[in-house]
Amino acid sequence: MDSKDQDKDSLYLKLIPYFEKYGILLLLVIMIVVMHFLQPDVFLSWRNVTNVFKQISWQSMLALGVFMVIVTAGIDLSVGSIMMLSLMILAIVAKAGAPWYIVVITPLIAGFLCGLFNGLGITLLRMPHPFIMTLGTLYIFRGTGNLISGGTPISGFTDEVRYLGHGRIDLTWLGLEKSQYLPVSLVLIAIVYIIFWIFMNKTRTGKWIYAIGGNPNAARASGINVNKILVIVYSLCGFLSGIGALILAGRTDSGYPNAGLQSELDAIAACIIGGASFFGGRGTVLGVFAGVMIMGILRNGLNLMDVSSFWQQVLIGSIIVLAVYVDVLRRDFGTRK
Amino acid sequence: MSSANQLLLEAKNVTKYFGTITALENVNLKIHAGECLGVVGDNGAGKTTLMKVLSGLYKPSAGSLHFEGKEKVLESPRDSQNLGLEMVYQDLALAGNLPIGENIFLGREPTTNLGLLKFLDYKKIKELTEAHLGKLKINVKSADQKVEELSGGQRQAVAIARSTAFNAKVVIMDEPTAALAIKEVGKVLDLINSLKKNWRRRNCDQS
Repeated sequence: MDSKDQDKDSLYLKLIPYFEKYGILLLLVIMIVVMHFLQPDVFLSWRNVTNVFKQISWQSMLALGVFMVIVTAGIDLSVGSIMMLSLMILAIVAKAGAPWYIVVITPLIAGFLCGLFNGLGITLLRMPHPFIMTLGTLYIFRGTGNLISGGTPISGFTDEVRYLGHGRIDLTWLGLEKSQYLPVSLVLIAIVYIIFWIFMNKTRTGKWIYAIGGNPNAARASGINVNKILVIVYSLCGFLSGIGALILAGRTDSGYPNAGLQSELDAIAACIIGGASFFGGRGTVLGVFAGVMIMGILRNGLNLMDVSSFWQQVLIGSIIVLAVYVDVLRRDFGTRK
Repeated sequence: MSSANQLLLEAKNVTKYFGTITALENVNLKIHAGECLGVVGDNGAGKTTLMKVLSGLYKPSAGSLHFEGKEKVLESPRDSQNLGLEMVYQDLALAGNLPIGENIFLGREPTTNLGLLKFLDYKKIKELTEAHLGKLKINVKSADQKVEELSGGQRQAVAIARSTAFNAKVVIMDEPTAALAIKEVGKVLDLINSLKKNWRRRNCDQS
């Protein structure tokens, strides 16, 4: 009897780390099942599922960038503005008649440089917190985007430029119907997330990013050039925002002044729902993906059920608080041994 | 000639200012191989500052450091590590979110290189960690255990294990038994004693 109880106990304790790692996926699966029962005909249809992925495509890039920053115990409030500025530069370069391969690269370079600017500002100017630097650049980048475009939308890109955000991979050779295509943006999300999963978990730089978030003094004392790693992280975050701009250009066929407005908050929310800790050092790429999916499915599901967008705001806010509270409870269970 | 007398580390007229505060003034220190030296002083006497200057975490405002007779300028703790000088910090300088092994090898991880990318060799880290912990008779559940799950004494043991994992010539320990329970103090002192037999030089800072 006693040993049985112990077995049960140790099984429970063994499950805790798995719950920590995959608990958020469980929430995602529950949401999908619930939505399926609420909207059995529509929700899991090919059209709707690809639609969800198309809707989260650019947000998922911002969230991934912000996630790496949050792992270092930092914050990047400027990702929405970086995306908007990169999008505007792309639009201007496209309108100037540059060939598509130049147009496609410009937002990536612009995003990277914006991120580099953030990183250098935080480290060289010795800002007391990344919040301040990126709050400043939130205004600077969006203002610059409006300055160079005159604050008006610039529309009309070629198909090559729109490919990543708008392209379709035909699956009729698999015996599927013409409407059952694979959005290129879905494939892009998968590739980018796999690359960054490898980067964060398998490479030395990724390990150092986690170490800086865990204890920056330990990282410094171990001879890690903390400032250099921070500059790399913010630059990569900007680069991912640039990819987001490229996807958005494809989706909307337009560079417009309100692009990515408040999307930095969505990105932060996705990271928090996905289990990343604001204190740094904690969180997984898989968790961020789940966080982005949860927000995307929630919006999509509520739209399908004709729930007003005001309720969506209330629900997403509640999920943020609930997700973190579940995390607090989990920690309690984890320590009461 | 006995290597025990060899001069390893010498600080000449080391001075360190923090703003208007003079933390160290003209400190001279000689450390020979095989020697165990304790630095004693009041709170705020500058013991920790001196240790951090020796390890390269702080740059001295004036004066110089000589290692095995040659003057060295330490730009970062990496430089002192490369010279064979290891430091155990008072706040331990461990990343709680990382496992024991990754803390021991933090900054010096064995890697497989693929162009610019350096991939961690997790298997080697685990093997080396287990072997090293075994050699020092440090008992932990597993090398994969996160440091934040360890007791104060175990953490101290991990910090000491890190300082001895790379054939250090000089090990500096800053208050190695501060903030520990009496039982754990005994364990850490045992560990230091067992090190003394194996290692050439140690320098403890204990007030």
